[in-house]
Amino acid sequence: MSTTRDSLQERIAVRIPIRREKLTPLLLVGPALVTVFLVTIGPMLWSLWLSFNRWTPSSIAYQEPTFNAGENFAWLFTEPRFLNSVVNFLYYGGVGVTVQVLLGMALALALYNYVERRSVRIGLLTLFAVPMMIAPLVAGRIWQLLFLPGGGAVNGILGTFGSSGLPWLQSRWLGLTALMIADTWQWVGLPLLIIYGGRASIPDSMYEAARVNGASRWMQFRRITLPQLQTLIAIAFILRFMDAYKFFDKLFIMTRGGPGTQTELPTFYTYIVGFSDFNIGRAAALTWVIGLGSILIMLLFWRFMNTEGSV
Amino acid sequence: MSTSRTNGFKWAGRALLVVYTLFVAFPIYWTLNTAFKPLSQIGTFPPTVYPKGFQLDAFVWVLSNSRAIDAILNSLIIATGTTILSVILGALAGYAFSRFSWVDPGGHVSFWLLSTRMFPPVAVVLPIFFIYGRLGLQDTLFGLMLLYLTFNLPLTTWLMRDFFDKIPTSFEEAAFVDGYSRFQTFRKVIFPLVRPGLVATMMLAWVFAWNEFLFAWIITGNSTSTYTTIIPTLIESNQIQWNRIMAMAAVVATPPTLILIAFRDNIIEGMTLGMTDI
Amino acid sequence: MAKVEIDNLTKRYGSIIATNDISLDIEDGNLTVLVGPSGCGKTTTLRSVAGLETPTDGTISFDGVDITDRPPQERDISMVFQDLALYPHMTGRENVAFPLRAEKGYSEQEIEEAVQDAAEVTDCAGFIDKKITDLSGGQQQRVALARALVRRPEVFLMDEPFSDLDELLKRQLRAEVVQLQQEFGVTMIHVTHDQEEAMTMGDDLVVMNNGNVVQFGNPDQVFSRPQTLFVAMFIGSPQINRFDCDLSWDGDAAVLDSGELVFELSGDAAEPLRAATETTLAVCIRPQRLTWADTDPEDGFSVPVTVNVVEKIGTEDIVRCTTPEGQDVTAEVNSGALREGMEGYLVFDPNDVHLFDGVGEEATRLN
Repeated sequence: MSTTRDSLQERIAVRIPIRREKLTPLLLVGPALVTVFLVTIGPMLWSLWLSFNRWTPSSIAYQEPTFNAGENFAWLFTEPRFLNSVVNFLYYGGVGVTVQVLLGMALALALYNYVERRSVRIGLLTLFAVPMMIAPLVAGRIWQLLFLPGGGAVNGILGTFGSSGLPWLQSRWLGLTALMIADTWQWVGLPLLIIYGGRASIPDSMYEAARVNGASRWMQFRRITLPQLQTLIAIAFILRFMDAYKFFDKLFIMTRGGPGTQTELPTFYTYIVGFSDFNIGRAAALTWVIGLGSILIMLLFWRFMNTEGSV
Repeated sequence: MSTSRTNGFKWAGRALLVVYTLFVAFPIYWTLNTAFKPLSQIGTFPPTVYPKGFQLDAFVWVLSNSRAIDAILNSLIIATGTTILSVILGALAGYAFSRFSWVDPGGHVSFWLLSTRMFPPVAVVLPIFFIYGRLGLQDTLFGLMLLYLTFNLPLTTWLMRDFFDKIPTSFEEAAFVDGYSRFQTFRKVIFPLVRPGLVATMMLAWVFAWNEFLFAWIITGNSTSTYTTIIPTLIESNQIQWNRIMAMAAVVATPPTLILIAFRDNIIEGMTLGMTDI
Repeated sequence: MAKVEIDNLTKRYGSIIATNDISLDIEDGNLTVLVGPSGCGKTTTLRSVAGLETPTDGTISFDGVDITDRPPQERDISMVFQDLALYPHMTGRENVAFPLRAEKGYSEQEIEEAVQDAAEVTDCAGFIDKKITDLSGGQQQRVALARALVRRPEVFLMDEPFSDLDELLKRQLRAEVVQLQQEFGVTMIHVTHDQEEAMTMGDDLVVMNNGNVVQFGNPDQVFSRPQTLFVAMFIGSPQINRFDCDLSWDGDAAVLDSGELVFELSGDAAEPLRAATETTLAVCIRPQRLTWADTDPEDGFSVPVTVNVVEKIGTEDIVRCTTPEGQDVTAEVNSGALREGMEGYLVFDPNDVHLFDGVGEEATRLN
């Protein structure tokens, strides 16, 4: 062993300078960043430029993008069909996400507190996670079947209570509600799991201390559970709200924005403008307004959370 | 503190769970119910609760029709391919973000990486449609695999970074002191420890790719199709082929469900944002 | 065995200076302890010797060979980390064998022998085949030591490995490490924030604060002649007593006045005070050097106190007292000599006093 030691001391030939470690991380991150740039950021930057152009490749007049400054943006803020979709989104996003988070929270707490056996808990958690694994498009088809006016199971069940059924996918607000129900079925599992995990990580000792001090269960909920879960509830809310922006598949297959254009949401409308009307400039403008709006809301929410509910 | 009130909560909670379990299970049951029915029985009022004319025709069709089989196979190839790509690139980048904090000054790089997920998919698909057209990548398996990296790469990078963070840097430093290069250390120390996380990440990425619709709908055409692009087209002479659709739904929902059941511990840990020990 | 020379080692993180132009010589075959509070630069210095930190400036040499630019892989060192860094997916034996498998051309037999050797010497042969996660804290410590010893390196580095252990285990392992170091004659650099650990283990102590080496010496020197106020207050348990006194001169005699403590030094004793640059000096005395008197000896070398708490530690008692104006004074006396509530005087010999030029940490020793 001493020979190895001596040769180490004397070895001057191959010396890896420590500074080389600057290259390794760049090589590691490089491919990923380059890919993201090529596949995502690059094209989106081009679409940003396109949003300031008029480009309708199907018409003779505007085969190539032609600069028209902010005209597309001016248009979309006054286009009634878009504004309609925003109203729909406020209903769908506001009510839908809130329901999902509240329901998820109620279920998570009920599961944690009222189900004793661990195997049952895991079994139920797994079952509740199954809908999230199904393609949203497929889930949409399934719910379309359930909401069929005549032979749909939903109206069938309502029928056993004496109702003659509702025109689920044939009206605006019922349609949006139907979409909400389908989406809730699919995604309540997410807030549920997040909040369940949070609840499981609150140390029992906090509750024991509260009980020793005579706190009622309601007090324990208000003073321990809620504050500890605050951040997670917010995260669950943000996650679902961001997904609400991207809501597309179910809308496409359940109502296709109908009847007519009544149940359109902003993202769907963008799809129509881009791939049906082929007005690329306007579609690009729409994507950017929607995307930036989404980031803005998230930042506002984050700032709100950090000032309001700080530890 | 009244025990009757506590009991009230308890039974209400359990009732809620029961109702919700039924709510979750019902559509699954209905799907299977419909898949085994002949077309004539679907859409009747009142709807039939069990398949009276039990038949396997719909499933046979799904598993023998060339269009359906092609679509499912394509989905398989694309999902697996993009998962491998995104996990390799993501793991390397995630490792770099974890160990070399200066690559991500102030968290800005990872923020921008993640913010791409805040844009609706149509924001990417719109320009890509034309870019792919010019590059000849439209309607190709590889093109779609590449495009899926848009939402999968930020995800895998984020997750892998988290998993690498859980391994203390002292583990690598100890190996360095003992004479191992960074690469050898990764192979012998880091990789075995991060493998469960790697698997969980792969599963998640695979399921997302398997279930994707919009990108596939826009980019693919006649030569390639995924099972999601088939589903809106299963209409024959103006009649929606509900039994075939539901049979297909059952078939395509099986892989992700099996993955969930097989890896439920890992996936649940990931989805509860790492706070398990349920 | 190698002599480690650290020359002008500076490490900066942006505007934070972790080590500030440090120069140290660590003798071959010595157990040198770097001791100081958190953030003093001791860990940075250790990691620089290991090669895990790149110095902003300065050099490090082993036996005269400059190894500053070498990565840790190419330095003949072993290191025990604070969290031990034992790989949980391997057994103890595999962990200990790990360093030998880094492509150094050892045969399986050589590896087995070396592992067995190391295990016996660190007393962990009995459980070395278990998985790391099945071992207790103390057992893991031994495996970590075995792993560090298996290669018989030139320089052996320890980064506060005992901080999370209970008292008994700490003392046990400290003694065993000292024994091993002496047996093998390895040059060992040990980092700790525990001054008692430093005093019991080290051949040499390097007391550090704020990125600087404040004093270098053996435990005796550091204890009986602290060079700065910081060292005086950091080393020694119970902590040294400190009186901030105003200095004035009455002819040839120096007068030190803290309000309650007033005494004079004259002749040779007063000489060092002429070099004082401050007017308020820190006057320190070790608890072990105070004796009790029931009545005022009236020579100024005493302070009136009331006994607050008596802590029994065996053959001695630690007596925590307060002066009428509320200053805490601690003394160490024979067991049973004093009871709580007693009033009297704590007396000292002026030769036992430590005088410092000023009242800040950096105040230098005058006498």
